[in-house]
Amino acid sequence: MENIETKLREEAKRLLLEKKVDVIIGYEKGTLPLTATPCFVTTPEEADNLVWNHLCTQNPVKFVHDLITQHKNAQKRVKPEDRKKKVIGVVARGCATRSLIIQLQERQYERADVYIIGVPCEGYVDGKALKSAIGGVDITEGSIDGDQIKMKTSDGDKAVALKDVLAASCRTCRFNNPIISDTMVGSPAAAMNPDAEYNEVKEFEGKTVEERWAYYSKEMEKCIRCNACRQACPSCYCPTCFAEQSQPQWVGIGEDKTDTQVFQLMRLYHMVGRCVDCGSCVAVCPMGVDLRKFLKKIDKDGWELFGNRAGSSMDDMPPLGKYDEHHDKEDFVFNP
Amino acid sequence: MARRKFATLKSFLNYIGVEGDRTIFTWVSASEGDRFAQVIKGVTAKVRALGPANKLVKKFG
Amino acid sequence: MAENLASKEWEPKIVAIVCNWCTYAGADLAGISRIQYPTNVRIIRVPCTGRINPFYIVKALQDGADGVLVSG
Repeated sequence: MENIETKLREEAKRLLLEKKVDVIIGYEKGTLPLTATPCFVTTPEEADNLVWNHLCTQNPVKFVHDLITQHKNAQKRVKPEDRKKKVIGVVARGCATRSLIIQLQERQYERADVYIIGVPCEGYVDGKALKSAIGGVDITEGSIDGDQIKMKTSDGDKAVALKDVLAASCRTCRFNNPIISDTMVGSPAAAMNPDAEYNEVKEFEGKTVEERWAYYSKEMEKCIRCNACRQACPSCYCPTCFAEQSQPQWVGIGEDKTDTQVFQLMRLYHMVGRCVDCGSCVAVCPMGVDLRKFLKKIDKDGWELFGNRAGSSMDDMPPLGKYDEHHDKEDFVFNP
Repeated sequence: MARRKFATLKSFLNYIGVEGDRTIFTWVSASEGDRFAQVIKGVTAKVRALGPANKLVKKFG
Repeated sequence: MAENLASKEWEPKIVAIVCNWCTYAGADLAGISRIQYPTNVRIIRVPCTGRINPFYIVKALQDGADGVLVSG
């Protein structure tokens, strides 16, 4: 990991010096112990702040889209002959490259607008799981030492095994190495356990309709509609989200519980063929809503009905943008 | 395209607990007046069997 | 009137979102041919099934429809 970090910094410095990129989106040490936050590196000196470890949680591709959109809009006010090109560098692991592929497939920007620095990934720490593993006490200091996380807390020294607090989406990750990259830093990481990825979904499918509805409504009752999941999601980039649209008003903005259910239902549904299971929405949710159980089902449907894994290949089309006459199932069609 | 949209929507609604029989998709061509009547009969029977909807329904007032 | 409605048995309310060119014409044909069918459906005509936003279906369910039929 240390090795990758040094190489990453060197690479970032080189790219910035050679002016191959204007900005690099990566991670720096967070202000709280045992955290890392996304950062924007624009000068070679700042490149020394970059980190790459098990604490880099958020999907940085959200910011790639934000920056490019911002730049394009700013350039609209400039005379065509004076317009500048901007290249965004991004430190991307497997799931981040999948998000990039999705945005590229959806024609959000050109491939030349991004420079992908691929990094291998061995999963990130789920902050909520870590907190509950140590009994909810405050962490004052912490470091990752091999496969152990050592912490000083308000309740004395504690240590937790890294593999026990990895995020659920990382444990069953199928694509933990970048799918596309311009340069690759470090050697590919070992495979995780992708065969178990749908176990939770299968178990949930086995329950009765009433049990499933009870679980869904219970989870959605926690939701406070802060929209953090949407803001963190790299696939949620609509300039005006349906939740804010007023003509027509698709979903009420009040406290009504069915409005929350419908909001979440539709946000989840918009992820058909687009959710890369990066876990950003789950990581940022302040109320701990179990979004992954539902997102994984959408992923499973995409695979089982259309043979598509979101963003797994540059040549694929989005599954809802095409139709396969010979392989699409007919079983959902009602025949009297 | 449209059918893929509906196939996933039906499957997802069923997954979260809104019975799959409440959302029904079918094809009826312009020359199939009889089939249309059959479809409506079938759908009404299915929904009647499920009883009144109480999930996801907004209560006003 | 209200009492009358209340005393009646529950009848399902079904929203049928249908394509102008296929099922709507089919429904028309059913009408012309005087084929009897249940009166529980409220037909909404759209230019094409591709025009239907999944939101139409979810909104119909949220606003109290007991079932939604989409037919192309």
